[in-house]
Amino acid sequence: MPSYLIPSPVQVLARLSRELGREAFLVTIGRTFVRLIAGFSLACFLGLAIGLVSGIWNFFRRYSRAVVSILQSVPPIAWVPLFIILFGFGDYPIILVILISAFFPMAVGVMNAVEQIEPARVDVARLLGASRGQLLTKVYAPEVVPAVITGAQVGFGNAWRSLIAAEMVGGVNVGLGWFINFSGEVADMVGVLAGIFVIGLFSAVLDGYFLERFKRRLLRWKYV
Amino acid sequence: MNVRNVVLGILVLALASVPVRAGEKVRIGYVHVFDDAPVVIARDKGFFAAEGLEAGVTMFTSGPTLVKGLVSDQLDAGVLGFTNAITWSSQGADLKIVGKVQEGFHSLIARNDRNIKKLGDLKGKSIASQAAGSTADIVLKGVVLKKAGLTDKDLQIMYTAPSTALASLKAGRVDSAFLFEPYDSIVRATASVTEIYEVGKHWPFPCMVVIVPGKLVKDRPAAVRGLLASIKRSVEFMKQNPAEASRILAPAFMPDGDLSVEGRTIPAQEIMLKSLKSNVFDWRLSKADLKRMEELSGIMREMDILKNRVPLSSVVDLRWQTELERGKP
Repeated sequence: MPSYLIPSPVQVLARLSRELGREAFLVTIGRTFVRLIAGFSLACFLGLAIGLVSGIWNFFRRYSRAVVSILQSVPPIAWVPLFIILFGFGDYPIILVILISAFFPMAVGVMNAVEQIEPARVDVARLLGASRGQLLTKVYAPEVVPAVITGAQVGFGNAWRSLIAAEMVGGVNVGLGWFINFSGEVADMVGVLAGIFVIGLFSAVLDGYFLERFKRRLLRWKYV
Repeated sequence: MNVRNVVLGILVLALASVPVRAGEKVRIGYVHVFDDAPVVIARDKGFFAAEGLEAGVTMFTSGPTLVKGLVSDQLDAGVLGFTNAITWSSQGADLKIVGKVQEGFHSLIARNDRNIKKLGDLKGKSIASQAAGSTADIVLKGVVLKKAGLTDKDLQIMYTAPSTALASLKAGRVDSAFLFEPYDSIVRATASVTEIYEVGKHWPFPCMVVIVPGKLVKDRPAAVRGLLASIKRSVEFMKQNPAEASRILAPAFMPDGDLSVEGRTIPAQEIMLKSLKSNVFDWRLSKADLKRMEELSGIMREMDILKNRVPLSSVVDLRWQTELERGKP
């Protein structure tokens, strides 16, 4: 393959070092992270809340399970044209795509974890006079921590992939997905590979370092 | 000279004059935009076969995707924006522009409720356009906005698929859109919008051209000739039989069929006829076209899309066009 199709790693790294010194590229990375943090945080919060409520409340679980089963089979990126029409161009459609992609692993994981809690523990807590709120915070929540961590890690991978894809087709003009798409449009394969390298690098750092540390902190009783 | 030799001589001459050997396989890519209508006509009317080509025609959603097929030897020819050939040639790819298909029709359409009467009114507004770095994007920033003294910093450009741009404009999610046919005719027939600028009227330029890898030019020149001759047939057919061309093109570009607007039905063929009238199709690159291509290359350098100058003479090869113009067999 000629170098204009598959550039060498040296070309890519040299380009990357140049790009990292350019304000526009740093803004591009920054905007991608802002979208990721907004969408992923919302997904974790909603996934945890709906997962817990579904686990405790049978009536809610019956319907939420059905909705989750239907919606999680739709690739998040397929929603982009609809979201653009409903919410306009910009960050909102992208954040919603991240929310959808990370929400399901979290919600399903928590739902399953709550279902697997030993009924005897819940009964004992009830006998001791625990209210619904206390059951939620003192019994259910600690039991589902490992599921939350797993859901967050799976959801993070989904969110990252969907974010880049949504930035490529979502009508935005800044972001790593946009940068890769633009580079591909103007025959700049070095730019494409530099963008891919940044995605891989940041994903590894965020998942392998931050999320891993967060997991060890929450589950420190397991790692002692 | 005996009779046998004369017959043999005639046979040899006859064989030599066949434009391309029968059933020569050619992998052709085209972009699913009305600008590439001649490819659809050539395929459906059998013009490729008439020129001795066994054409495998593949549709692409964008020129930059198609051109990757040309540079990686997965396609033998493509009909796409000429800027693709320039950008890839500047990187070292061996591509040749051998003929024209269409002049760039791009229309700037604004919603009537956004108080946009002229290009200058776009300041601070939003506009939906095609992919960043595409021919349309280069013309929008380098020609249309520049004419109004604007840059991409003065307004919000949203890069999206033309169908989404159309839907967003109708839904009021953007103030304006930079559209080609048939989206231009569709939105004008179905929404309260006004065309405030049309590139083809004010700044005509060769948009869709026939691009082939240099390898095809060297190894299979007869196939290049057959391809260009097929496009010539298509363009002539579209000019002579617009009604039949509209009937052929309607299912390709309006698969949902007729439009329904406030209880009124607008036949898809009517939209196709309008699109045919608004576009300029031609298989020949003129001197004026070559001048425009030089201008656009300069704009691409100003926009930092082209890092180095690409001499047009190294990319354009018009020997088959000249042959066909002279009516050589």
